[in-house]
Amino acid sequence: MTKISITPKIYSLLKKFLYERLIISIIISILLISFFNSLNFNNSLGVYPGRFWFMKLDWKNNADVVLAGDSRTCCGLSPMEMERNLPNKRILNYAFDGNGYSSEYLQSMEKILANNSDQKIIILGISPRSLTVMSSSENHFTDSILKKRYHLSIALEVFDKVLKITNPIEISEIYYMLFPSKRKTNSYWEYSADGWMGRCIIPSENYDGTVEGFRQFFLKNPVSPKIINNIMCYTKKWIRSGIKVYAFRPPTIPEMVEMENFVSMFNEKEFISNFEAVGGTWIKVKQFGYATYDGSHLCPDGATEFSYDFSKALMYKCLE
Amino acid sequence: MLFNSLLFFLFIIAFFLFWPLIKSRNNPRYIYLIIASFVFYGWFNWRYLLLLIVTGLNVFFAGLGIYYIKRYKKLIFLISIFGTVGLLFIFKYINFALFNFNFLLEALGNDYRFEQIKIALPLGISFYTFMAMTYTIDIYRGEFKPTHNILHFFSYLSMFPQILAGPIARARNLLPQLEKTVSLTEQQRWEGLRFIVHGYFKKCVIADNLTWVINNAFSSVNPVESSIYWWVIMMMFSIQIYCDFSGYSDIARGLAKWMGYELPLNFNHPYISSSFREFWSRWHISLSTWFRDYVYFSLGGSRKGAMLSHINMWITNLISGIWHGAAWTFVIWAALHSAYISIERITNWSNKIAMFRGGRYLATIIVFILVTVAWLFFRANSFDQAINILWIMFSFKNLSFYNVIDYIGIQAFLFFFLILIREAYFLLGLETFNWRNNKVYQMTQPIILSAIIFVCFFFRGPGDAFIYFQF
Repeated sequence: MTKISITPKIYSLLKKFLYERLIISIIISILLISFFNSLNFNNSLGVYPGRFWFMKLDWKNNADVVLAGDSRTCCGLSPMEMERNLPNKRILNYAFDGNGYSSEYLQSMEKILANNSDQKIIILGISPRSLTVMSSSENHFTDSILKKRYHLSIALEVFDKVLKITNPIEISEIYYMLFPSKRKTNSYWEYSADGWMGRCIIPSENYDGTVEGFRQFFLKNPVSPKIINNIMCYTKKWIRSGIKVYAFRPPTIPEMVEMENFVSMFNEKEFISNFEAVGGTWIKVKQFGYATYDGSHLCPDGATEFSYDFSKALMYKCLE
Repeated sequence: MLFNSLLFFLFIIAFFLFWPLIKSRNNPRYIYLIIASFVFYGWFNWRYLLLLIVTGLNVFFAGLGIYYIKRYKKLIFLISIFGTVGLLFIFKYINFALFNFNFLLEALGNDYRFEQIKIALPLGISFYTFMAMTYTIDIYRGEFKPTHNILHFFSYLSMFPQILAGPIARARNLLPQLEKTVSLTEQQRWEGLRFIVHGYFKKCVIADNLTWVINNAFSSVNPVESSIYWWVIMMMFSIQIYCDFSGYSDIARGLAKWMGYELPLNFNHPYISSSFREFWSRWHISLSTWFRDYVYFSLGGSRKGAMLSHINMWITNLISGIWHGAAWTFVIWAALHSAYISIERITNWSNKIAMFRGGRYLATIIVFILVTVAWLFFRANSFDQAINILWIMFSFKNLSFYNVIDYIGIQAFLFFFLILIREAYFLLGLETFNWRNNKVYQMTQPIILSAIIFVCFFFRGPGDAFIYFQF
């Protein structure tokens, strides 16, 4: 019997494989990417950012309490912290960056509430910006829905870790890695699976600049009575179906609140009066004194404190 | 699905996993390519496929009719062209036509107004329509024989690398290639990878990092009142649109190469052109040659005297302008280029300048500046905005460069200058030097490409659709 030696064939194939420039390039790329990733530029924690917003759109029938609103609510209320005072409640933060109370958004909240919940609760974070037509038509919620059509959630699920490794970074990050003393600000993001987004910038951004930016926005985009009316209609509908509806104004800084009251055409007293007339419950919260990173959004420390205070106030309201 | 998406990455892996097993026989190969292309194209909206199929069936059967029914050759050809262009008109231009008709009615004092029709613009319709037209036109001219295999035809028309934004491959060039089974060499696989990686670099790193800067500039209600700011923005747009479009073309060529097919070169460093004639021989080559061969030459070209040559050139360019978009700003953009070419032909200024020492580089700069000015009308959201910005650009006020850096950001500048340096490399003819044949240089190629892949991963800008998808 002739013994056929396959070693020369394998060797020849291997040699051909190693001379394949395409293969060499891919191998070197993987090594480079892995090495670079090990330097840990990725300053975001938790859920992969790209998946974070799609995750919220997939929620269905899984919460007792839904927190809604824009970035102030998204950064300001941490469900995990709230659960310290409301231990038996499943709480999800359904707020989106730059969001507004469009009909589509309001309609989408109900499906998140669990059918088997003892008491379904919707909490609306009412910032003047979220009541503008601009925010209701061009916002992260709508944008996420459009983008989600072109993505496979399953693929994101499976490649979560890979995607996180390849998060893009700014060239300035390499510069600051080489010269750490030159770094003017440090920032990080945290994307929590319960929908809370933690963000911090140290030192915090110029508050005057933030207030001015919002002022310019409100000069062109005042609060819309139509959007407020729509919120009242949905609140009435939810109350009738047995859902408890609460609302609050997210805390910021005194200068921001003063500017918003003056420029945005938001009448808080009138809103509260109308809201309670349709059956909603307004939760009065401390407007100032929580740590912010830009004068508009709470940083994680501020969010922890506010979430605890808010959930305590909510707990008392629930018992009333 | 977009080229710069995870989904497309998975699609490509799946496609090329089975491609080697299927490609050896014609019909299975065609079917596989058609299915993959339909999945790719239909992912945006499955309804778009219906229009593609209707266009394809019209053109395929018309091709056979033109070739075999000689008596009614012209009639069949006209019906086919009318049908193809008609569909393009309905989906892309109907609302523009109605808008202008209403404007005319208003000017005449008539109160009647036509309602705008709610109709979605299918992606890539302009591209595959032109591809389909090359098929019927070439058959009609006797330059090409039709295929009898409908699968063969649809594999050409729907081929996914190019369906959305070209290059517009001629049927007579691509159909014969599709009939053959090609075993790739190492060199071809390597070149394919190079095209793809360079394409992604241009699109994801350069174009996407410039996009947000330019979009911010144009979406601002009160434009920045600084000449130098707008000159920088417009030059960045020149680079953005070039990188966005040529990046897509490179990716398409690379993918086609991996399948064993050659798509035509679409961009050949247009910004190193020292004349407008040269510019249009380097920019969107597949489209400009399409218009040259099927419109300009059909009108008579330059065979009937200088005056008619100018007229034919203007007509061709204006049609090309309207092809780009249903708005008068695109027509103005095309008219500007027509004016540039006419002036160049009459005065021969570029050749005269090029005769002097360093004159070629001066001519290149002049062409680049004029092309940049024309891009303003291409990009602006309205005619008013374009005029407003043009006024600011030429008022030469507020020339502080430091403020511009604050507005735009260092990263965008870095990528902008990177491409300028790259184009300067080709302008100076450095790519022809012998050092590229050096063995050490050849050995470092995989390392250089790996570095580019790495940059594409980590320094990509926020993802955005390719600009030319809207056409």
